[in-house]
Amino acid sequence: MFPYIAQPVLEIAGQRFYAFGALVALALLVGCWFFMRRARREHLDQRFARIFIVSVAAVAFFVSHALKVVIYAPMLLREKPWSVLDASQDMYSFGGLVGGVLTAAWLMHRYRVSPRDRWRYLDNLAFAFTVGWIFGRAGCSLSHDHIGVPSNSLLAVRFPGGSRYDLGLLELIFTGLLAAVFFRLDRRPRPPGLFLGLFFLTYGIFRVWRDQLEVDVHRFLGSSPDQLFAVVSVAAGALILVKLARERQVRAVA
Amino acid sequence: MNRSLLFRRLFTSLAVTLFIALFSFLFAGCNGGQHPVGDAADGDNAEGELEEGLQGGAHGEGFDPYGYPRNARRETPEDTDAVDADNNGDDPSQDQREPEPTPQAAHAAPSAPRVYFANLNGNAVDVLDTGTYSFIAHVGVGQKPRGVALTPDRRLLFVSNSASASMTVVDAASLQVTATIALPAGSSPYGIAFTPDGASAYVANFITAGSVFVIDVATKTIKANIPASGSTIHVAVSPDGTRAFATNIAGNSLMVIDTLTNTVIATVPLTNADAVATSTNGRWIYVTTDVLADTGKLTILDGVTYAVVQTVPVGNLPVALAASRDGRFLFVANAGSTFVSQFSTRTNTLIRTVPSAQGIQALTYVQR
Repeated sequence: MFPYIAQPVLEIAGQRFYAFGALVALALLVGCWFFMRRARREHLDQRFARIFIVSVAAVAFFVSHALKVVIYAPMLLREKPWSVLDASQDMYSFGGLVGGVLTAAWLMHRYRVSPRDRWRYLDNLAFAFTVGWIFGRAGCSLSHDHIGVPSNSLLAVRFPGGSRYDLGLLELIFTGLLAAVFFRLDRRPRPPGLFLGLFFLTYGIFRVWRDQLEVDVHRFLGSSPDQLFAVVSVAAGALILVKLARERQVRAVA
Repeated sequence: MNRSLLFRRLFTSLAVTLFIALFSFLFAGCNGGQHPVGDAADGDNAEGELEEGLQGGAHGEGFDPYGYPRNARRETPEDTDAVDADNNGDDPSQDQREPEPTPQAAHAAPSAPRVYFANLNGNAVDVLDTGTYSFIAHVGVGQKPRGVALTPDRRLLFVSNSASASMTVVDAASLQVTATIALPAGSSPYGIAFTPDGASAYVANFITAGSVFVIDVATKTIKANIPASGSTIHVAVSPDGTRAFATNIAGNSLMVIDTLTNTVIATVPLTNADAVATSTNGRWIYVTTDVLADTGKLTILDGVTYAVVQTVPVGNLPVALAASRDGRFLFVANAGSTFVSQFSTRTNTLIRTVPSAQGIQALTYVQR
């Protein structure tokens, strides 16, 4: 069982600086840096890669907030429509994913990236996102704002009021493991799209399970919005992996 | 290293530092950087359903689930002391009131699709089906039930019987009374709050020499009785379960209790403090204060230092709080006014008033 660690807060001149925010900033920076680093290694176009990752990160960041308002606070949308743009409030992981994927798709269409390179950019994005996500979820683990159901599991956290799951920590562990798998796979040649497919598939499955442990969640059609997104993610991941497997078979036959 | 490279690296380092500093200033958690509100354990609220909640007269679970019944005139501790002195269940202050319909809008703890009302004059808990908005059960409890709250696992309903110095425990599934916890003679239990693990219940004892009872939920026994320098009326427990906050309306303060040792570790002066709740991450404590003044206030305290960070005027007799599901809005029931105040936890401003009947003493959001 994990110990409970309160979020470190630095107070300077009456202003508070939270570890969570610092880790989110690190997530963005590390994610972008890692993307560019791998883009160089993979001989991807550096100029486009820079435009790509900065645009994807920025839009994903804003959409992560906007989608949360739309799904979880439509009342706020009616009262103060401009609040959708206030990205300093609330973040929603699947909102970020949706925003990032749509932006990536639009950019690749706009810059007429070749079909093969599209998969390479997306693969790179999936890998960089996973690495950056470790820092983001480390922040969630410290801020303890994804509280799970009470549990005595080894994966539970010894909260002062009793042990229970910390879903941010669970996601940190999952993302760390997934990143380790990616680093391992990255050592040898692989078909473009593998990282993306694996990410969508495994993260989707993980989120379906993880959201079952959430204590406070909206339900639509018996599932949380995140679970619905997760099902779409699983389907997308499965389709990509099936496509890769078929292409491999075709190559083998040829 | 040439000078331009040095400058570029310095500039990059500075930009990265500023970027990190800005984010650490803006964000404290996924639920926003300002005042995220709500109860992660029990929230079952949905947007756009405030009116139903108001009509139900329920008190906001998921934010401040532990209420108490009052009419437009605020009881003073002296009023209540008269009740408790003989402990015969006869409340003089209640006697002066006009008869109220059953169920009385005393306090409700919603557990969708049900809302539980403490029926003050009926000495019962009435159960409302939120699907049909019809009452489906009437469970007899002790005298003058004031507060009703579900355990975090939603299996048990605790009811504070203010005039019979006891707590009634009801099985939420079968709606059968499973236990009655006797409190010391003369006690008058009001607000109830559970620790997140459901192991302990903190119960305000609203008598002149008030206290906070700590009840072991498993054994249904009193673990501790924490003395107060006045009449405690409402309790909330921090999301991490380490602190309990009890409003002391007569002692003009907020008691901060260490739930590990069950001792008072801080007392914050607050004039006529009443309803209390904490934000999801425990950073902020919301208290309605000055409830006996013409204009009540919503006071926001820092959840770490317990310093008052903001005070916002609301209506007359702000006696209950409820938060929207996402925590962006906080609603304050002004029993002495004809409106409910809607407060933005983002901007810390009152953004509107929702017209209501006078005398609303409890609020809730209900998810259908």
